[in-house]
Amino acid sequence: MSARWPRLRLASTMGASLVVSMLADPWRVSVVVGFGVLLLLARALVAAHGGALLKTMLRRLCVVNLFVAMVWLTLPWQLDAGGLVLSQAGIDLATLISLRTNAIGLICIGLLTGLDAFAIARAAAGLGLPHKLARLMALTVRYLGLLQDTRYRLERAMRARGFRPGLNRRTVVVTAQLVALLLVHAMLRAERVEMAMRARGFAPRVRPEPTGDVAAPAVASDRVEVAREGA
Amino acid sequence: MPAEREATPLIEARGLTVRRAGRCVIDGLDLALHAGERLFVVGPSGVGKSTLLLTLLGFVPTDGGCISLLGRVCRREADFAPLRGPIGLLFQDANDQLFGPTVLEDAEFGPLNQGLTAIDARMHAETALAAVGIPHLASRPVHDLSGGEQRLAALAGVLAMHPSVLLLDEPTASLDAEAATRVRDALAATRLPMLVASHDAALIDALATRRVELGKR
Repeated sequence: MSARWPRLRLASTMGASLVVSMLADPWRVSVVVGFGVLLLLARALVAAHGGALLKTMLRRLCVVNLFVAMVWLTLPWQLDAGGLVLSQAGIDLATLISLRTNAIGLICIGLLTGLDAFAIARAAAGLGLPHKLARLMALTVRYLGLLQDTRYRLERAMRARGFRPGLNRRTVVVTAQLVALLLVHAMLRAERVEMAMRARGFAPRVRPEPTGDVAAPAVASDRVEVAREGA
Repeated sequence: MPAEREATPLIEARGLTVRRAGRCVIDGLDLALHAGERLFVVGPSGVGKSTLLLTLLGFVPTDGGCISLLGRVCRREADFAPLRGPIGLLFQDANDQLFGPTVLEDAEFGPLNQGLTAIDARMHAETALAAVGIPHLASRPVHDLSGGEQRLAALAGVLAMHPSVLLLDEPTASLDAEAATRVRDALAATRLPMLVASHDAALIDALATRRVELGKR
């Protein structure tokens, strides 16, 4: 039964998100937001380290609201003869988007917190996601994790050499360099991964039919007992 | 006939030259790995040991010389491709090599590429995991392994293809003594001829039948 929980949680999240995305009445979406808040509190209450979990969940909610902030910075404004003015239609739409985003965010955070991305990928596969897509998802999860590790190592190395990020031009320049370096790392890693795949016989276009047996190596008899020289 | 086979190296490079970014990394290298040998390529960092292994399997283009693998002269990708598998390559960074969702699925990757059925591929993978002593890790996600476990899982992925020869790039680099010992024991247990790039003195002492030193140019 425990193995089904990730699938159940993912299915519930997807279903609830779909329903919320179709709600057009802000009051109804607000009810879902309230339900989401209760869900977060309930998760924190039953968890062993509820305070820390709540903090993690709220931090994630803050990240979600960065998107909401971008919506409010752009959507409600319109340019007319008097310059840049707020539009009622824009405000209504931004409110609805904000509520929906927070409702879906709260549901995702409340239901999926505790599952790592890899478990979510496996749960998606268990819910019938096609094998190739599930594998792509797992690969994406894995390599995003590796990129994250690389970023962490680079940042640590930068800090070790006295870099202190702040609200200044130097931080912007160094961050741009970091992003560029990450892209270079990602490209080099992709090349090495491709080599590793080819080293194990992967040919993207031509894949042999199952034969039931490995093709005999060119010199099979060269698999020999090793006698150390001088031994 | 046996004398003839003995004379034919499993891997041979003659006058091998590789330039990268305008720098000559390998300059006219002659090297041969014979049956029964565990040949170690040693030398300071940056001398071209990893490049040599990648070049021998056709991953890095050459600027001169000739490569023969298992008695066949290899010039083009089409020549190298069928020999990847019979010649197993262990990469320096296991993270580059491991990409299956779980250790078992990763080990199945090579056998499936060789055209085995799913059942046979699983059998090969399970045998390889047992051979390197990590059958208990079969269902573990590869990103969840320690450095030593990752290296063993990567080695299992290579062995699952039943290679005749191994090319190993720093197989014990960055491992603690215990993990290095496990990798060393697993390599010794394969009893396969191998060409190894390594700095690890303990590994060299334990396994090498011959060594070649590459020097800085």
